[in-house]
Amino acid sequence: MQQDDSSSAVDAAFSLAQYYEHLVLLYVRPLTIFATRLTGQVEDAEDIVQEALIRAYYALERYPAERIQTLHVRPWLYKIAWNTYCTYTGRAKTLALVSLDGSDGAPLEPEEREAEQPEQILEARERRQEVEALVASLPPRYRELITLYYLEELSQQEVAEILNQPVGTVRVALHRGIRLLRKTLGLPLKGGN
Amino acid sequence: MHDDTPQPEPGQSISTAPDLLARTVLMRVGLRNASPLPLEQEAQGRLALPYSEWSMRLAVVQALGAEGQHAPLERLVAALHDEHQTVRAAAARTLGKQGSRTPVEPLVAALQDAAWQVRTEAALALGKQGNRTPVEPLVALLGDADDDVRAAAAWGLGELRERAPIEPLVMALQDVAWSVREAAALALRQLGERLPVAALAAALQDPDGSVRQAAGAALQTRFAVQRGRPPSAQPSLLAPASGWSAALAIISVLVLLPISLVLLLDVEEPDYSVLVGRLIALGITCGTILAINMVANRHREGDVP
Repeated sequence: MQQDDSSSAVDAAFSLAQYYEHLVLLYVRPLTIFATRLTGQVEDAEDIVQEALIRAYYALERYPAERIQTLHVRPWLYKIAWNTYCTYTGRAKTLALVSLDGSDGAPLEPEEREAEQPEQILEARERRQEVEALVASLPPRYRELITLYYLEELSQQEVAEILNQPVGTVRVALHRGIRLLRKTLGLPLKGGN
Repeated sequence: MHDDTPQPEPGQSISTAPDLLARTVLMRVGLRNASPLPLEQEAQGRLALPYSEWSMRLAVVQALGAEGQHAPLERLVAALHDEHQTVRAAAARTLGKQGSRTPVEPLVAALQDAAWQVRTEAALALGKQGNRTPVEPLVALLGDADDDVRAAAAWGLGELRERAPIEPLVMALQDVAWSVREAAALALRQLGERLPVAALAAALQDPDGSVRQAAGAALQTRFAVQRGRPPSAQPSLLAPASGWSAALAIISVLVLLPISLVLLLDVEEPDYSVLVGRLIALGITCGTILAINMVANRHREGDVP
């Protein structure tokens, strides 16, 4: 579910408590789905989301008003949720992606998301759940990347910032992830591969 | 090493509906009251009863906090040692709101708590104590294992304003966690004219957008402060500088001006072209003095790193 950042914008008459409550109610469900996709366990996902939202509150308490007003809430919350997930599972916060030097495919262009979006294929075939299961079966680095980009619909720039990676590296890794997914789905690979 | 794993309470549900999860989150940050206490219990002064359920103990702390600056400090200090982290965190938060009554020592001790949320609340509470805020414990907390605790420590140091140590905050701009680097940049913003321009300029190249934004805002504040001074306080290019820069300007005047005057006053020189040359030399001398003073002033204002 795509959330609208503008709907969360703090206005002068809106206290931090009201703003935060609004934010929690708006994001608790999508963040739980996101964390469940990452962990595969609802119980773990709930712990992660609870802690991530508490950490978000402390950050908001520290922020000056204009920082809150200019905050892009959605990617910011996902970044906090990602960090919490990494701490919770003990994994590195920086995703080990392939470098640009080791590329085995052309970088993914931004406009290619529409053309290659697996979930569109799935929706057309009523196979979304099946695809999510397939994404879950991918190696962790591709599963997390595809979850952030395709399923959570964050931009490549936002994904790069969350994973602390250059955008180019994210593009190449996404391309590889899609190839893997297409191969698993039995779809033809782009470029005849 | 801190054990930050929240301890499940007996009877706590494992899988939670989103609205219940949201309610728990709001309760844990103090925005929702825990289980309401029966009014007769409050009226009978039974708030210190040792409830076995943590949410009831949290409700007690919240009820004590509702008494504002008349809250019984000893009960709140005792709650800092509760077995449940949410109760301890609520106690630290409530203690931080007691103004001049806030006991600093128990909060400093709470910086060593096993739970990150309690350490964070203690750091935030200490940051609000003005001149009573101890510097060293917050500097030490910048080495905490948890990102958000380090960020809270940076925030607390920023609240010290003129007492804030610059070097630890500049070091925090290099932290591995983006949230700490961002908090350090926001804290440095509080330092006004002491703000380290070069370090924040370097932070403008940070890989994280939030850090770049915070550093940019800090630099903007710094130069807005400079621009916002009353005219009498604005540094003038012609105004005398202070300290070493003033000395430099005085030496330049003492050395260069007499030479110029000697050259100019030697008016017996019949050659007109020589006289024009001396006038040009005098102009160059005055220009040099002016330029030295300008550079000295810019150094004083920190424009030149």
